[in-house]
Amino acid sequence: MNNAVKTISLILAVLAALCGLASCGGGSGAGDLTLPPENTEVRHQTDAGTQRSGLYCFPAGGKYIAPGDELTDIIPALGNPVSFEQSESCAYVGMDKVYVYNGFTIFTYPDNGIDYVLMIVFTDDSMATAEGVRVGDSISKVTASYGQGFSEDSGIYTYKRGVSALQFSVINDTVRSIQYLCVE
Amino acid sequence: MNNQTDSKNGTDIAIENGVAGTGANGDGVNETGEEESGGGATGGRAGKRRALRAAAAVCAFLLLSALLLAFAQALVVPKYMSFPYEGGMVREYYGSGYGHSAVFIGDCEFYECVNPLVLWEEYGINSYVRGSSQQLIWHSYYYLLETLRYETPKVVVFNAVEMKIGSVQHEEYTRLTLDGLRLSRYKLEAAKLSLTEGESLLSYVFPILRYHSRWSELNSDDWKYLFRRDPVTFNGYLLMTGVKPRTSEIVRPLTDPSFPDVCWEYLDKIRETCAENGIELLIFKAPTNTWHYPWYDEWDVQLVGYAERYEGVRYVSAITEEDAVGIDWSTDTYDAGDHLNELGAAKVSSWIGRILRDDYGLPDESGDPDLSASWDRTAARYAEELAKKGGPSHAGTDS
Repeated sequence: MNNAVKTISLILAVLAALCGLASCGGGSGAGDLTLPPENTEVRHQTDAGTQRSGLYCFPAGGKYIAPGDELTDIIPALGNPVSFEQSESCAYVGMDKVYVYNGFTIFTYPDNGIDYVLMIVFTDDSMATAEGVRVGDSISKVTASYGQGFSEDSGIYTYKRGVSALQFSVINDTVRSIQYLCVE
Repeated sequence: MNNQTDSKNGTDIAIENGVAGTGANGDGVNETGEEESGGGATGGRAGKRRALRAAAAVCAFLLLSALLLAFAQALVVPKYMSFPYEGGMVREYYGSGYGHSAVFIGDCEFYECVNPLVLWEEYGINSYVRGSSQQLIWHSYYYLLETLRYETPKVVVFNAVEMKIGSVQHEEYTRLTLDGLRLSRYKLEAAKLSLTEGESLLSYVFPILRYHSRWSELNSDDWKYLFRRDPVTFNGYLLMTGVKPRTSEIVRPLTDPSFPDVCWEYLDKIRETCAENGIELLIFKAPTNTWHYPWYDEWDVQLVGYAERYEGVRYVSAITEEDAVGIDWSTDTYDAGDHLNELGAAKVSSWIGRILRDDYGLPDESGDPDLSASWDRTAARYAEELAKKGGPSHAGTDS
């Protein structure tokens, strides 16, 4: 009889361990997602102070916008975009969004339900970088403003600072597009 | 009868082989092992029996524990029988019958752009799409190696878009890609290369370690599909029937013309594996090209150059061949151009099927009665699903 009791006790102990295993994860916070997110890549900065120092920033709407910034405070400062688009990743993992303004476009990415600035692209010569470079300027103006610390690949000149980069796409020595972006 | 009485803690338990009862005619031993009756040989036998009983009890306990854990694991792992279906497609390959002359390996560009049923109906080509969400290039490599355990296709079609991404973006996609694979060293190698911070390789062997927190979120599907799954694809093709035209004029500029080194490394491995097994490698870019999932001429140039360097390798892009493919972006996409719907997938399949037949000589196997019967069943299920989902289809129905 004793052995039977012990066996049953052991089985109950295993069940209890399983229940403990089940509960130790706590809430997954996954909402309706079948797969609870556990380890997503974190590319954004969380400290507002570090966002302003050591990053390339784009001056607009009275703010300095950097790749990796949370979008929450940016859109109210910039006002309504000329157009807006969003697209869902296959399977899920949130919506990528695009806010189109006169002269520039902001691409965002989601992370745990919050949108962050992925890339800011100048679409014409109405916008200038903080150092005064515009689409249509010469590559010499770029290097005069930003120095020689760039990497170049297929006409794309890249300056990196922290998790941000400032790129100039150059064709025939003329800047054709400018973009601020997150880098890993 | 082989009875004995065991006296422990003052309580007698009589056990015989499979039958419990009070000891009669048995040789007894007390709890110190002293003989109560019989000689030394008998006492030795009793000791052995006790050891055997203990071993049997331990085995029974371990077996029961394993069964309980297996049950709990089967219960908590996601079933993917509703959105996102992508997690349910990978395991279906193992029931596909194998013997495919072409196997497509890639991400959503393949499982929503290539419809093997069209390849069968139009060309008699027996093919399969081994696709998964954001399949990374090393995943594809191990998919290829695993495929070779089951079959050796004449042509492997690899998704060019995987050259873009050289690191894991989200653990969720890795799970969708690897959880459905059978446990093998290929699965573990692929997982090892994909681990994000805090993840353990063991959780790919015992998924309960990853999914135990779903315990509180279990739904009716978790019970309904505890020990079985319904098919969610048609030889790997995920049927999408909605229509949302591509209208955006937003251009996302090229920021990095180079493919990551790791992508070149694994493209080489894929090429070498194909060559070693006498398989032709066709690198293929689907026609999709949007601000969300952009593709650039600079990347085309590099893949064209790669294909030119190696025998048995070819690169084709349905973007540059868009007119020949016949894609109409006002009708052939369900999400504004990121992916194709049934209409678009049929056009791409028809186009690439011609290449596979004419340039690679893949055989028309429609005369094979077993294959035909299998594809007939797939076609019937397809028609049923199409009717259920509604929307236009290449067959002309619009339910």
